[in-house]
Amino acid sequence: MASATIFIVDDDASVRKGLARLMRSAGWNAESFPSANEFLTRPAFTGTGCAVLDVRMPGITGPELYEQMIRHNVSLPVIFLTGHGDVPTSVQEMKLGAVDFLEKPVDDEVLLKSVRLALERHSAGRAREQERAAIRDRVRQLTRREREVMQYVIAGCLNKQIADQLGIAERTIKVHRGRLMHKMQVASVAELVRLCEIVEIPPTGHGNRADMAGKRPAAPGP
Amino acid sequence: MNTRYKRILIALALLVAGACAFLFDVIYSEAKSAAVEKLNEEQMIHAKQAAQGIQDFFTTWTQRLSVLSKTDEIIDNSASGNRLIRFFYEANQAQITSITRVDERGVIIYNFPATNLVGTDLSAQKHVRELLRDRKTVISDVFRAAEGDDAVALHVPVFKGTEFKGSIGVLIDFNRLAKRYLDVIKVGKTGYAWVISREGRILYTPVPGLTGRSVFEVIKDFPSLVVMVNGMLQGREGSAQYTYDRIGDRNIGQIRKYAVYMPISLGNTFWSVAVASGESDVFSGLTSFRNRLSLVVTALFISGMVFSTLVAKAWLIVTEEEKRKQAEQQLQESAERLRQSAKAAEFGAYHYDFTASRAFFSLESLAIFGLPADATIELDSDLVPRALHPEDKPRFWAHLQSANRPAVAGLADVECRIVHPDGQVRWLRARGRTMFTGDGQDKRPLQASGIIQDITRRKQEEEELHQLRGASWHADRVARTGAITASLAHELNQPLAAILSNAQAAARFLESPNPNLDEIREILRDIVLDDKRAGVVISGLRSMLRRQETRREKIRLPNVIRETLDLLHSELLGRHVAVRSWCESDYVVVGDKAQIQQVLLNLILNAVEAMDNVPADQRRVELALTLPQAHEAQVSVRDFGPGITEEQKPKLFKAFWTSKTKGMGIGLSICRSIVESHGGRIWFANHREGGAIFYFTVPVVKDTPKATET
Repeated sequence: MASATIFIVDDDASVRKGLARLMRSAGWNAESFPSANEFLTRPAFTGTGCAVLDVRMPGITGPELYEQMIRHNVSLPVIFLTGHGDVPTSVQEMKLGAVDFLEKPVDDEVLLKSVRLALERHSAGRAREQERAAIRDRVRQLTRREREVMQYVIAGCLNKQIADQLGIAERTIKVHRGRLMHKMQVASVAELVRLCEIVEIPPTGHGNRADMAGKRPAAPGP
Repeated sequence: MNTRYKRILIALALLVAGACAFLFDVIYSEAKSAAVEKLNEEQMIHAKQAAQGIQDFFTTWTQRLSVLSKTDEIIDNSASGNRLIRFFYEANQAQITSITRVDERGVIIYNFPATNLVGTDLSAQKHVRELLRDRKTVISDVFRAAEGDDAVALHVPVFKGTEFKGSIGVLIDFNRLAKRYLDVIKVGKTGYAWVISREGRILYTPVPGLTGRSVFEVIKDFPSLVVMVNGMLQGREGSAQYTYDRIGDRNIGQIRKYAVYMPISLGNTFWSVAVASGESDVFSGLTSFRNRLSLVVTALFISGMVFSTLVAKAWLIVTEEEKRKQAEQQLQESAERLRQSAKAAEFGAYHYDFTASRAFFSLESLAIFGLPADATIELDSDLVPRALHPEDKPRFWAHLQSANRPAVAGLADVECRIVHPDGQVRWLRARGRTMFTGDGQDKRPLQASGIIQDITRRKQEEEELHQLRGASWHADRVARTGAITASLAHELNQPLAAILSNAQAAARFLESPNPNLDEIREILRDIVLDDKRAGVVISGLRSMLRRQETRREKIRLPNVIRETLDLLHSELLGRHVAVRSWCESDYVVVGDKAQIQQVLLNLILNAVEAMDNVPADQRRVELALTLPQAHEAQVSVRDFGPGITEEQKPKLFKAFWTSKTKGMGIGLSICRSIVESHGGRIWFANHREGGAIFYFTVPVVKDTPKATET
């Protein structure tokens, strides 16, 4: 596969150089930036990669940069490096979803392990994203009616019930069903359910069905 | 002393002279009045003689005419009477100029020798009128008679029984009368007589041009004369003196006359005769007396002067002696006091004689040099050379030599060490002055004197103080540096992290089948650089923490500023403080680098702490290095905090005062000590756009690149 790229942001030149070399020695590409601003102005990146951010920097700090990345939908996973300790910040960052929080001087094995983890996550994430995109594409192919029907189908409704609900002939439902299964490229309802979950299309149902396992609607009451 | 003596002498001279003058005056006046009196006596005799003579003359003729008036022939004015008259005339021609028989109407009925005058009416004449009225003997004024001479008429009345038949009279030649009785009066050189009538007509005076005039007219300008004349006109006798300076219009100078006067009674009237002499007549007699008197008085004066001079001198000597005694006593007392205070203050005195090359030391100096109380040092010239500490010898002698130059007024003030006989080292301070003799080129030292003092204790205290100061400065340096340890650790961390990454990358590169050796070399080079970088942080830290003597070396200020900022790099970053520094030029100063860094550290950390409550993106510190005045470099540290409040201002540089929650508050007071020990100043101000600025200056030296610098 194409080599991943590691993005390094640290205000200290020696540290940048050292880290970049380390990444390259592990077989990856490395790009270094002296400040957050420089990093943010880099044209969008489409490959696999991750970011190694120094926590303490003049201007925008590492954590602040991470927040901006999230806001701008930059999906790169982030590893924080600090020379200070900075424990309170680390908890915050971990909650936000940073991959790891390491102290300088950092041992190569430790750092590279984190980087690999980050890259895996990134590629996994990317794969997932790709899948989602494909599914969405398929969903876009559906007509309105087909989509409606699909939502009933993944709710576990029978054709008759769907027909009743929508006020159209069962026979028509069957046709829709066949077509949408084809467009969605699935062979089973279970698969369809899975795909819909991935793209977060909710099922429509009136919830009286015993085979809606685990999906009892919340009963009003105490 | 001399002027006083002269003044006394002058005063005495005046006194004696005054006394002599007074004496002279008194005696002379006495003599003069005596002389005047004598003169007046003489003059009175003359006057009396003249008066008596004239009176007798007239009395005699009155008697003769009385006899004639009783003879019938005369009464009847017969021819025999006329013949009688002729006889009488011829017998007395010398005295009379004519005889006249006047009738009861005042008409001449016979006159001899001027017989042609018979029939002349004389009733108009004053004396004739008087005769006709009073029918008594009359004597006329002096008048110009028909014959042309000054004459006086004497008429005796003629009676036939009781019937008035006129008079028989004679005309007396006044001039002859005067000649006989008045002209002869000569007193001395200038004395003469003059006569006035009862009415004030001048009858006789040797002064030409005045006879016949009214005396009042002549004397009206001379009051003294007026007084005398009034007396004369009252028929008195007496003496007087008068002065006048003119005769008519002719100014003849002031003339003083001494005069006597007495009346000449002539029947129904009288004249007054005055005999007057000028001053010179009085004085002539006195001249020799005066000369003798002068001699005597002069002799008196001289002896008086001599005597009083001697007395004054004696008196002066006595008082001088007393004063001297008093002064001597005072001197002794003050010398004693001085000795006491010298003892109390522990200083000794020295005295050096250049001519004899001998030194003298007071007894107190014994203790100062550590010698026993019975040592003899009073004339020991080797005392100082022996006692001087070898290291201080050159400096001491050099100072003395320069102090002994006339150009510097011979002032010596030197501190040096001496060694006591028992080996103890003490500090000595010698202060004195050299006195010179001669002028200009020949000026050379004559003697020197001064005091010496043991200042060991003071020196020790100075040293202690110096040590304490150094210790407190060090403590502050350590504290400040300690405050930034965390950031310093971070500063070290960066190069260490870089080294680790680099080394491990290199190891990985070497694992590959074809390692790029160039890249490896680069990595190694970077590792070395980073190591050195770490080393700089460590040495910077060490220099701040080291306790060492204050150094004096050439320092480039921009370098010091940069190194301090490097040290603070992480700290500033951690506090989100941006720093901007600006160095006008590469100024070099002489000082202790660690101490200057300490000042900068203090000021910058203060600036950072001042902005604790300022939003992170507004925190800024601005440093500037400028040269506002030719000889001193100025560093300014500006923050954007709240600035310095009014009540903080006076306390800022005071030790042990702080507005912070931690720290001892000695930072700024130490900064001031350090800056001032470098010859600079430190102060602060509030920037008008907010925040405070701290300034400090350090004198610059001319930058010489070859000198050792840091």
